[in-house]
Amino acid sequence: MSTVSLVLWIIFLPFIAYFLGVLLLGWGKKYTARLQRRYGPYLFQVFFDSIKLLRKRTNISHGWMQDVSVLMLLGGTILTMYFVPFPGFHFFSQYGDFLVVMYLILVPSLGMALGVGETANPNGSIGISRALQMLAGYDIPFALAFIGMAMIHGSTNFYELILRQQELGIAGWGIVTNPFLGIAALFALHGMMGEKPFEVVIAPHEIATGPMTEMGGKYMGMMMITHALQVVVELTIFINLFLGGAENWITYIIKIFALFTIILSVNAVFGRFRVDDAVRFFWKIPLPLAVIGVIFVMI
Amino acid sequence: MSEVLERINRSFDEPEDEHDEVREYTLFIGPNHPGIEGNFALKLSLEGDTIVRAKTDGGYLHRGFEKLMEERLFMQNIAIVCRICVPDPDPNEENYARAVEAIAGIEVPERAKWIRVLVLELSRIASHLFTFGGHAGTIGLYTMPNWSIADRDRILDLFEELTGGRVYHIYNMPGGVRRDFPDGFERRVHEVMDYIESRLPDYDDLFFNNAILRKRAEGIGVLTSDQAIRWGATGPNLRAVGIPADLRRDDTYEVYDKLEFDIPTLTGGDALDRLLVRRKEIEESIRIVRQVVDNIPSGKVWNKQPNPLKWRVPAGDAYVRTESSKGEYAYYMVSDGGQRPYRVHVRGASTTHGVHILENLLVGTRIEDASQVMFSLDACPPEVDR
Repeated sequence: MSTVSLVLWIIFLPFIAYFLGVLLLGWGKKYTARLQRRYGPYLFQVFFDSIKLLRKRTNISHGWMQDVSVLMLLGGTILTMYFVPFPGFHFFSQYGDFLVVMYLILVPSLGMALGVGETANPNGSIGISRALQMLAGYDIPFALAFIGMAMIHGSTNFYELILRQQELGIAGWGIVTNPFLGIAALFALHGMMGEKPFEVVIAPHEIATGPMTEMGGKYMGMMMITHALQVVVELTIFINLFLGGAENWITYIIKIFALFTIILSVNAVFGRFRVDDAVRFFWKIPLPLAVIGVIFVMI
Repeated sequence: MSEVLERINRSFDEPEDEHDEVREYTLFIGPNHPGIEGNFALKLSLEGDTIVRAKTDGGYLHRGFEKLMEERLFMQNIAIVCRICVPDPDPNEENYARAVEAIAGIEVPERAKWIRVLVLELSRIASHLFTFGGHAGTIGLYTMPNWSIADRDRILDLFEELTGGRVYHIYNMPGGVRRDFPDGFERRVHEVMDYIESRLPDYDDLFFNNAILRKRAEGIGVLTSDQAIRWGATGPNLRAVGIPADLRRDDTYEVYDKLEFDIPTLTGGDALDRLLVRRKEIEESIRIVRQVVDNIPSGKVWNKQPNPLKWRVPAGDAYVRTESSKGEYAYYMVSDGGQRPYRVHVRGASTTHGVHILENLLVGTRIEDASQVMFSLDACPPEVDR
């Protein structure tokens, strides 16, 4: 990759991902609305909402840590994104493998925890505590699923994993070669995205949107932008690990929309677990599935 | 360094009681909160996730309904009473009209009585559909409110056609009802009832048999039959503990004694059973509505009353009760022979359910279930603030 194209990718990838994230979230709103017998908002509503929020004057700030937290959210997500291979861009994945991504993906959560802690709102603190509990639920099966894939293909490098899967076509996809790992990771992805039934961190009726309670105006705008990026990053990680990555942007977009639609369909017909039930679920179903998947690989 | 060590040692030596204020914290649900039912608030004291004390905080909707009624003509009050409970306004109109009729000795035409039953049952169905949406919202199942509240709109269409108003109907008047059925109304009522009935299996699949609802609502906010009687529970909340009390049977009014319907009961007394009793009640209300439409006698719908601007209701008092979707709804009215009521006391079911019972049931439940327990009791905050 030439230096010019590398610089261009570094500059434009966040914008491309944000555009894709807005489209995904807009599609999500439309699709859910149709299931709910509604018309739904405009496809680019998330974009307009973000702009509106960023233009608002911030009346209440709880200190510099809250300001830093939204930057950590956005910065951490963008940094994670650089280490995840996208069609045509996998430069950084040779310097940092899946373990780096697993580490970086925690940075936004840490930023959110610090910022929300600064606001001292009990709803926010409960939300953060729930987020950490959820992490204990979905992170272990997700990590195990990845370890299993790394053992199958003898590499922890994202890009190599994609190439190995693509060698055999669909038969080589992670979810086909080892469905146990794929299904466990799909559950974990669902939890990571915080969609119902795992929407325990936000839970508006319980804790008044939890971490977002004190985040208004520009803070909320930044969080919305970050959310759009996070959706893209999390779905792309799964596509790269279990759906053979993507040879080009067309197959990538088909895969990412299809995967997101599956998650949205579950989201629309389920309520949310209690936080302990959610963690128990991860330990009862995805975790044993992931362990079985790893044992299969070892055998 | 020694100072730091000293501080650490001192913190270990402090008795546990010193940290009480840290162990327990206060959380407000409402008046501005997605999980609150109407303009109302809960002040919760929590230890971790568990509620140790709950205090309801009402008054946000206090418009002084009872006092207002003392200042207005008997006819003017018809437009006020319906506002005491937005989702189910018709029991207020019914009670007010019947109280005036009882004091003034006014006869109501037979057809008007049947129409009043129709309106009350349609209102019950609409109110229950609203409650299902609210309850589903507490567990995050937002498809259900979108479905049930959209379906409720079909009943509001019927109300609009019959009364001119969708939410507040101002339709029951002392002496009957304001107007008769429009042309083809019976057919449209049947169509809407068929539609609502056809939707019930969808609700079952999506909501009532949903694994998450079963897991979250079962065993939550349990009310025993002893508690229910002691604390004054009525309506579906009482029937969910296995007591088949229903004013439509026990102290019948209008033409309920001429209609066939069952009183659904369950015995669990938890949030799930309270919800399921309401689900079963919709089927019974549909049954009643169909009987009314098929068997309604012909005749006039209102016995003309004196000029409302000069009307003096004879001195006397009356206590009337109606089975609303929330429970027992009663009015005590006193007239001193003037143009305005001397006193109207409103006994809404929500004061017992939404204040006393809720405060007791919340103790020991977890923060994530607070909203669900509240919605399962189906209180209507303006009834508390009347």
